[in-house]
Amino acid sequence: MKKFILNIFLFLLLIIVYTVILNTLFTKSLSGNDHNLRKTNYFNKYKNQYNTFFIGSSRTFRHINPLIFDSIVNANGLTINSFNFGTPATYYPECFYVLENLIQNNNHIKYVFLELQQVNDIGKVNLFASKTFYYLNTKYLSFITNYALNSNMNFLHKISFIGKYYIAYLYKLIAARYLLILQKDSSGDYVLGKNKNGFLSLNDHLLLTTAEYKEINNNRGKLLKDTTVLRKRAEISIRSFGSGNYNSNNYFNKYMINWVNKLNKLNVKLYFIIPPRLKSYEEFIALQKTEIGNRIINMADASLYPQFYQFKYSFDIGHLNKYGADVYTRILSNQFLSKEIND
Amino acid sequence: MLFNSIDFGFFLPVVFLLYWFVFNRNLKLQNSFIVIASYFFYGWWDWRFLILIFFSSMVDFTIGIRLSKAHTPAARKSYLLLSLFINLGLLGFFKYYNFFLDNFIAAFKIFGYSFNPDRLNIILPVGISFYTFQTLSYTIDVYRNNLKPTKDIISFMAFVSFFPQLVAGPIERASNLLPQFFKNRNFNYANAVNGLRQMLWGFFKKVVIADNCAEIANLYFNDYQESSGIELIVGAVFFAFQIYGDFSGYSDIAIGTSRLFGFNLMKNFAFPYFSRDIAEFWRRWHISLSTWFRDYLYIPLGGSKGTLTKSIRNTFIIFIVSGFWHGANWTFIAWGAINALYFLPLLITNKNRKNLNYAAAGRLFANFKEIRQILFTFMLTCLAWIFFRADSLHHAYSYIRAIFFNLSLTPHFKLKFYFCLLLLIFFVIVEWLGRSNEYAIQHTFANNHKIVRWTFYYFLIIAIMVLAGKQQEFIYFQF
Repeated sequence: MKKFILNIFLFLLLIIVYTVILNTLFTKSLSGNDHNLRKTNYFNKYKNQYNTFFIGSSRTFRHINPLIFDSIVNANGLTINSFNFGTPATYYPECFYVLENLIQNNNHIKYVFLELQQVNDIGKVNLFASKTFYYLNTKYLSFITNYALNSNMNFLHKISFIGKYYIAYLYKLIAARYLLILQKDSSGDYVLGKNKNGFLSLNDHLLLTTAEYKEINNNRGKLLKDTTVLRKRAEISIRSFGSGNYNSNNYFNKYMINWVNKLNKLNVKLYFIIPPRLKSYEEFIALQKTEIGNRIINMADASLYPQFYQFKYSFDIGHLNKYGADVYTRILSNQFLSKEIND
Repeated sequence: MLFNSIDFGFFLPVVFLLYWFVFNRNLKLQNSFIVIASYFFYGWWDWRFLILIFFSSMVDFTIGIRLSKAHTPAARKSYLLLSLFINLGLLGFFKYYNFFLDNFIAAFKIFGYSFNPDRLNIILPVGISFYTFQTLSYTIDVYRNNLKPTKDIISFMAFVSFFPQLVAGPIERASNLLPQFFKNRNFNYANAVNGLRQMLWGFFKKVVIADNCAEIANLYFNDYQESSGIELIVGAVFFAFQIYGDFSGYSDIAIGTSRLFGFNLMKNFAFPYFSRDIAEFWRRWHISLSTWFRDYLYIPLGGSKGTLTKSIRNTFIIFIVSGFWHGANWTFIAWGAINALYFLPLLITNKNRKNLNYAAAGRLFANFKEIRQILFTFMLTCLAWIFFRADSLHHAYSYIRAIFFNLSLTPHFKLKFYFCLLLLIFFVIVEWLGRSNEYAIQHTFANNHKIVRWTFYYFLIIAIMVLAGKQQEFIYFQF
């Protein structure tokens, strides 16, 4: 028995050592996020044209139209040329990775808009997906660990939350990631949007391409089956912002403040956007009460913006349709302008 | 809990260590631990169905004891019938209620009557087709006096719920597995290593071969109208490897896992795609199920003794029931019937027991005749698999029709197809070279240095991690 366990241990150790060495020697920066890779490659070709970008999930990708944003903002004296880096299912901490890469390689950026989100709780089904682990390193693991420990999750949830990230990271180290070079970017040009500014509403997506057709229609179907979800999301928003109750994650607050300060030193202004239709806003309300509260643009308050919870502006439960995106971008631009003017 | 999941990755080492280091003080304790671990394993999917497996265990345990105490043949028969009624009743309700209801309604419609009873939203308990047959083998063997009933409830519960083979077989015979719970089990290094090796090959078959072939097969089965005839043939072939990789892979993992705990389960697959005729195929495919039907249905019906008509009738019954066991759909019945039709010529000409040894025994290469026979048999099974895979008889018919009608269309194979083809070539070569063993890589590099073997295992593990197709549910989980 001892020989058996020893041999297993030795075998696994050799695998890990061997694969980590190969990973270190041969790996290059691979993206597990095809949409982001496509956008980054495009952006890098024309990067001198852009001085502003939006980062976030599909709530950014489908809601913020740079054409409208730029036209409103530029008409008010600012000079902005923005690009939408939103990509589906791109949550924290992956967003920070995207932000870091963009800031590193572009020194003419003036504004960054980062969608506020709760940190992603990895679903078991995605544990070994490239998108989950491609960006992970010890720095992000540290963020995850501290974020979870400072949150109001129960003990078991914290263990599971943190554990999944460590498992995904371990998998990244030993899964011969260098062989993922065999993977090609499987997204299409549609991710750049109709006007190649990174924005694509869901309505236009269906006209432009058949990619992801089934998933998009399934999501739309869920809303059509039960439109009361919108009302429930609106109620959550009104309750959250109305009561002012919040659960502060001090580590998260400090982390975001550090980001603002870090970008300030690079003469980049970092703004945060609270998107509508989330299930919880507690951490963001807490963040609003910190010294960077003036950098937070709240687009989620249903008492102020009931239209973002109306069926006529909705595509599915989580997303606005193209008319909703239009309205959203206009309000966002004006909110940004009022903050810039007051700053 | 799926074998290829992170949950199982935590479950197995913990159970292994507890089994050999904590609960090995006495046999009863160790068996009790198996019951707890197995119930935990099964309950991880849905704890409510633990009640069902517990009930099934209690029924047959009690009936086994009653059978031994019953003195008259009538009483013994009554107990047997009770066991059959309860076990098959449970299976019938959970698996076939809606099927029979839908067909009942359709039959009424033919006669012009409209009949709309409520369809029940029944969740099919995972593994019910397997453990009900396993417990039935116990009561039938006790009834036949082939097995003494046990009074050890813990061992019996462990036999029924033994987690490696609980949800997708092999369907163990009480006479093989139950006695292993009565004997002390000592850790055997060679057996445990053999088990790990078999598990590794099982994971490779399931995760690399089956899941990758599934992507290709699904592509063509879902879009058969637009696909060329060649593509549809490819779809059928890839499904054949998908189902083989899936099911035999799962069996390998089950058998390998059992070895880690000192148990020996029966072989369930013996390289069926190297069969030279359909009869040989059915001696090598899902052996635990086909032998179950042979021993508990075919032989009691008379088997091949008696008139030719009776033999033919019994053959059809076995294959159709076997098809029906796989699922509540006419496609499975059609699949069974097709296999019966394949089998008939061999039965009638008394050639169904010709090829008893494996193909090209003692030789590296098969001769031309064997290759022709193997390819022909494989082609027949692929044709039958179309029915197995199709959603409906119409789908199967349309698929086959499209093969011939779309032969003139040009196939357009994507990169994924060529990648899967390379994988299959590698896989078939390894399986061919290892066909005389219990599983393909049992003795691969056995005479070489440990470093060579470990390098080979390393490449298999990396292949599993990197080349894993999109995870598909084990096909046999629907049974």
